[in-house]
Amino acid sequence: MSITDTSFPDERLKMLFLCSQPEIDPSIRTPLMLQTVLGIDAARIASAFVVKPSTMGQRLTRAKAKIRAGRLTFTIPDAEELPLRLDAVLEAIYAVYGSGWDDLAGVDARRKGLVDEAIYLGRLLTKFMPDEPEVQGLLSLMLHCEARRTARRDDSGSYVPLSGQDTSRWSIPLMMEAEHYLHTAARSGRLGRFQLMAAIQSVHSQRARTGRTEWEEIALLYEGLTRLSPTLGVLVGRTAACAEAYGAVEGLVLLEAIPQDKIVNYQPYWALAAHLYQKMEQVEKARSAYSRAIGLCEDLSVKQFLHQRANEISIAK
Amino acid sequence: MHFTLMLFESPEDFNARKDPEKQQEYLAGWSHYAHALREAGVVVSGFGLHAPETAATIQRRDGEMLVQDGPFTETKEQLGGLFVIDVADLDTALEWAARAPVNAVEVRQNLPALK
Repeated sequence: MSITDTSFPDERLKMLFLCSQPEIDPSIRTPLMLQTVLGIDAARIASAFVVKPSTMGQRLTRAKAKIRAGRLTFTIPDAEELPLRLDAVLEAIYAVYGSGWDDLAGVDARRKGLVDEAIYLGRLLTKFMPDEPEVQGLLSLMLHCEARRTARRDDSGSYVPLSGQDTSRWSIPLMMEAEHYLHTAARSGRLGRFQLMAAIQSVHSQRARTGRTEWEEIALLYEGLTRLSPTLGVLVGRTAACAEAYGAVEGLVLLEAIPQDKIVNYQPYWALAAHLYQKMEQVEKARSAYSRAIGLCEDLSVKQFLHQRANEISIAK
Repeated sequence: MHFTLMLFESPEDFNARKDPEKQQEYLAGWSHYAHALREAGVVVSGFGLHAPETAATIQRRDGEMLVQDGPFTETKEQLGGLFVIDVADLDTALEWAARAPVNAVEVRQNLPALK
């Protein structure tokens, strides 16, 4: 079944596209989707996005009023419009996943639930749009990340970065399912950013079998991703991958080429900067970068982890 | 827009200030947070407060002035310090509040200064 030959049989799917129309402000699309498609209340959505609940309530009300006033209805996007519209839907689902994933401690049940809901939406979309490789790419990406969820904390509850994770704690069924969707997507011959992000996670997952990470392969995938979608997250990820593959010197060159006005509040940049300066034994810069990474961090266990890393500088010197 | 972040500390936090084993980590948490705020260029002012048991509180009841030792309310979490920040909106202020090394922060917009 393709999207153009039949009406959407599922009401929730209709709502997904309705929430992602160009008339709706991108920043409210994901909250709107959570409320109208999944029935999540405004207070819980507000907590997930760190917004005042009454503000979130007002924004949702305004967006719904706009749908009514503008008589926005669900229209099946035509072949030309589909990629753009679909991208907005995928983006919003990915944001649902991200807001749940950020709750690293997994202590906030209200946020953890969002991860399951994002995967549910991803599955729903693959069911109704089986010919869209990016839909499968997104689902594959989420499943690969999900496979490693429990490995992100050790028995004492401390944060464990990806490179230090015990691969025996990764979920094999989830990784296999993720691989299945990635392979199906690849058969279409239409590459996209979600497929590339899933492919990066797929390379990481191979460590469970081979015991090593193919950083050069990951760096190459990031090159492609940088061309398709040079977001701040991608630029930082690419820098980290290149530093692993080709050395910290190469990494620092890329790091310092990232537009400096954008990274003032971007925690992952400072965590990576600290790591690279530490490797290069630029002690003062490393200290300062660790300090900013810790100061910008919301998660207590990651703060703790970065404290330990920063203390290693003091011990070494 | 100026917002005040009211940073509430737990009894454990206040104890960590004096505990030689925990003091360093406690202070580091705050200095990293202040560093990130300053580098972002949003700080208007900020300071910590001495522990709540050092407070003196005055209250007028039926026109009579009562002075008591300790904080106004005997809650578990007590005000430990304040930051006034200049940011675009409440969303951004909440983002900064979420990064503070405490478990409770109250955020309010400041009124304009009195003439």
